[in-house]
Amino acid sequence: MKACDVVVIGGGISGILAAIAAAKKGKSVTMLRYGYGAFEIGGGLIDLMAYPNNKKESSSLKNCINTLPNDHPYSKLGLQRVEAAVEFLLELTKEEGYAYEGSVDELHWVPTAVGTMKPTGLYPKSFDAQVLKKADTIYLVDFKGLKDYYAKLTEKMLNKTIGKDKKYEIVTVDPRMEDAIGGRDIMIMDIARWLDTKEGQKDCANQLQAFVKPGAAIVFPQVLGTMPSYDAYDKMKSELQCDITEALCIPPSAAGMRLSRLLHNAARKHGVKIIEKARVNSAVITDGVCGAVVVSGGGKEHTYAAKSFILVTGGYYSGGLEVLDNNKIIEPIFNLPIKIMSQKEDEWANVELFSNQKQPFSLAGVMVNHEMCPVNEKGEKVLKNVFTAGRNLCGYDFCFEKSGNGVALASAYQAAASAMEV
Amino acid sequence: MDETKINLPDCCISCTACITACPVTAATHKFRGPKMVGPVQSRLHFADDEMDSTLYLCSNCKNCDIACPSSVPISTMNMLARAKYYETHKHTQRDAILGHPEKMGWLLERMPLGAFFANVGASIGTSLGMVKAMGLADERPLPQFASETFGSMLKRKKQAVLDKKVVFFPGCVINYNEPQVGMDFVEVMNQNGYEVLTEDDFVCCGSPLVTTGYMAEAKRNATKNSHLIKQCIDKGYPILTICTSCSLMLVQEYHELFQDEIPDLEENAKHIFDASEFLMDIAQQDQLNTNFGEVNHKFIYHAPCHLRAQGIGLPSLELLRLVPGLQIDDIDAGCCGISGNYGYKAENYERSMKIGKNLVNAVKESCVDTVLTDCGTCRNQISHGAQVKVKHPMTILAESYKNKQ
Repeated sequence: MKACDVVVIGGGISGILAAIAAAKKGKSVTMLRYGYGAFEIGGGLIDLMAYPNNKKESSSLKNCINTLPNDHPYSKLGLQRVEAAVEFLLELTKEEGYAYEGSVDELHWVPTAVGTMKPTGLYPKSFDAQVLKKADTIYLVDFKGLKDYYAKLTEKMLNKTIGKDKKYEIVTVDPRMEDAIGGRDIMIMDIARWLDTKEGQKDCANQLQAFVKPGAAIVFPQVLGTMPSYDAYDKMKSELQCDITEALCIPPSAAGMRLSRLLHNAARKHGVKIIEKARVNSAVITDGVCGAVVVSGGGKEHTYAAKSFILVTGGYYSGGLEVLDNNKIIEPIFNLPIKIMSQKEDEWANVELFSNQKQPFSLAGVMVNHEMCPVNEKGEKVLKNVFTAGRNLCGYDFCFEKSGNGVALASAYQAAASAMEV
Repeated sequence: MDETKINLPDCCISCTACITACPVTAATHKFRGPKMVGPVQSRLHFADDEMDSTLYLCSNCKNCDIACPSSVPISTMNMLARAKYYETHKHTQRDAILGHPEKMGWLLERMPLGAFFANVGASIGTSLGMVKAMGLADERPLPQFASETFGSMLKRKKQAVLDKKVVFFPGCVINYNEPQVGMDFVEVMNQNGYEVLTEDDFVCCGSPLVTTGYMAEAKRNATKNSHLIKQCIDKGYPILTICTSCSLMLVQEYHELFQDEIPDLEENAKHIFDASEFLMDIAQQDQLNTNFGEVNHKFIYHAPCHLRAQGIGLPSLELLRLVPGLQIDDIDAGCCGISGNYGYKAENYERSMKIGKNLVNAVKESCVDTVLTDCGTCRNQISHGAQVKVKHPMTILAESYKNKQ
C-alpha cells in the first residue's frame, strides 16, 4: 500500500481549504469527498464572529477572542493563528482572481434580501452595505419571473434599516427566460448564469441604463455570476456609473457557487487528488496511529494510506457527528471522544429556538488541543497523526455566533499545518 | 450515515447542491431540477400517481448523486418514477431501439454483412429523413456496428493459458461497436499475466433499459448477469469492465434498484472492477507490469460522469501518467451531454450539445488532436462536437506495451 502525505476526509469548506493549504506547501494530498459540502447554503461569505456571547451585542473577533470560553476553537487557536489563516484565504482568493476582503479587526455588514443587515468577516467586494449609506438614491433591481426575491419587501425594510430620507426605486430587468414558464420558476442561480455570459451582462446593463442615473447605489439580488470572477460586477459598475452591492438571498447561493468553484480550481491547480463520492466508514489504527482509512459503499472497499489524516466530515447533517438512540453522540470513523453539554436529552436544546443563548447541541463535538489534534477529557492526544477541523469540533455554535466558515478556515489551516509536521 | 436510510427521500435536507451541479438544469429552464423531480416528488407519490411533467428531461448522468452530501440516490429515484410511468403508458418504437442496443447487435451478428448494411442503412436513413422521423437525432452519426463482435474476436485470439484469470464483461458498446478496444484491454491484461475469459451468456447490463423505462427487463438482465457473475466469482475470477456505465450499473445501480430482490448483489459488487481500477489496485501492491514503452503524445482526459459517481477516483488517468513520454491533463469541464442514449433522442439533441459545450470548447482550446475517455457514448459525443479523435485509455496502454516490445 502506497501512502501519500495527507489524506483529507471530507470535501466541504474545511476539507478543501485544508487540502489546498497542505498541497501548496508541496505535500501529496488526497481528498476523499462525499458530496459538495454546504457551499450553496453557506452563501459564499466567511463569517468570522459576530455574536460571541449574546445576540444583543455584536463584536469583531479581535475584540472578543479573549472573552470566549476555553474550549472554543478560536480560544484553542489564538488570535495570531486565526490571523494567519485569514491572510491565507485573502492571498488564495487573490491568486485565483476573485479577491476577498475583510479582517478580524472589524465587522462588515451586508444587506440581505429582506432588507436587514447581516454581519460578516471576509467577503467578495460586491457585498457592501456601506454603499447604501453613502447614496441619496438607491435602485433595487428586480428580474421578471424571478420568484426568490421580492424587491418591494427589500425596499420596505431598507426604509427602516438604511433610512427614509433616501429615494428608493425598483427597476425591473427582463432576463428573457420565457421557457421557464411552466417549467421551474426562475431562480437566483439562473439569473447569475445569464450574467456569467457577456451577452447577458450587456443586455442587463443596457436595460438598466434606461432607468438608472449615475451616482446612485444599486442593490442586486445575489446574481452577479456563478463563476469566481468580478466580470459582471465590474461591467455593471462601469456601464451604470453607480456603486453596487449584492444582497444575500435564499439558496442555492450564487456566491457560494463562486467560492466552491474557486476552491475546486485551486485544489486542482495545486495537485490535490480529489476522489468524489468516496465515503470513509472506518480507519485502520495501530498503537494510537492511523495507517489508513477505508472507503466503502455498495459492498466495495478501497483503502487510502497516509502519513497523516485530517477529519473534516462536518456535523449532524453530513454524518460527521451522529446521535444514537441512547442519546450518545459519536464521531463514527475514529470514534473520537465527544464533549457533550448535558447527559439529559431535554437539556440539549433551549426552549426557544431563537433564544439568547447558544444551543447546547451545537456546542457538542470533538475535543482538540491547540494543534487541532483530538484529545480525551484529560487533554491527552488520542491519535497522534489525526487532526480535525470545522463542524467536527466542540465548543462553538456557528449559527448563533455567525462564526461557521471562520472557524472552518482557521481550524482547517491549523490542522493542515499540524498534519504537515507529522 | 445509517445504511438502511439510504433510499429514503427524507434524507434530503434541501441543501440545493444537486441543483447547482445538474447539467440539465443549467441547460434548460424547463427542467425543475433534481431536488424537485427526485426526492420532493418521491414524497408526494402517495398523493399523486402522475410523473413529474419534466422528468423526461433527466439524463441520469448522476451529477446530482455526486453532489449530494446526504446519500440520496436522486437519479435512481427519477428512473424508478420513469419506470412507474411506463407501467401504464406505451413506449415509442424509438425508445424500443434505444433501450435495446443489444438486440440490434445480436440480429446483425447473425445476418451476412449485417453490420455493413446497418451502417449503410443508417446513413441512407439519415439522408432520407427516416432517422429523424423515428425520433432519433439525425444531426449526429449513429453508432457504427463493427463487422465482427468482440466475442468472436476473442475466440479467434490465441491467448496463452495463464494461472491468473479475469472474466471480462464487454457490454454492448465493446461487443458490437468497438470490439478492438476490448482486444486492447485483453492485450493489457495479458501483459500483466492475466488471461481474459468471457461468458457468452452475459446480457446487456441494463443501463439503457433503465433510462428508457424498461425496468422489468432491466431486472431480468440484472438477475441473469448477477447469477453468471456469482458463478465466476465462485471460481475465484474477478469481473472486469472497461465501460464505466456498465460498471456503475453492475456495482451500484443493481444495488440501488434491486437490493432484496436479487441475491448476491452486495457480495458480487466486491469482485466487479473497472479495469483501470483493478490495475491501479495491483499497482498499489507493486504487481503492475510497468514495462511501458514511450508514447510521445499530448492528450487530454475526460472523466465520464458515470465513473465519477463510483467513488473510485480517476484510475485511468493515474495509469496513463505512468507511461513515459505521455502528457495528459484532466480537462475537468463537466458532463459531455450525451449521457448514454439521451443525446440520441431527437428532442434532446440540441440540449445535449448545449450541456457539452463547455467540454467541447475546452477540447478545442487545448489544441490536442486526441482525447481519452473510458465511456463509449462520451467518445461519440466528443468526436462529434469537437471533431477530434477520441480513444479509450486501454488503447493507449496497449500501444505503450507494444512500443516496448
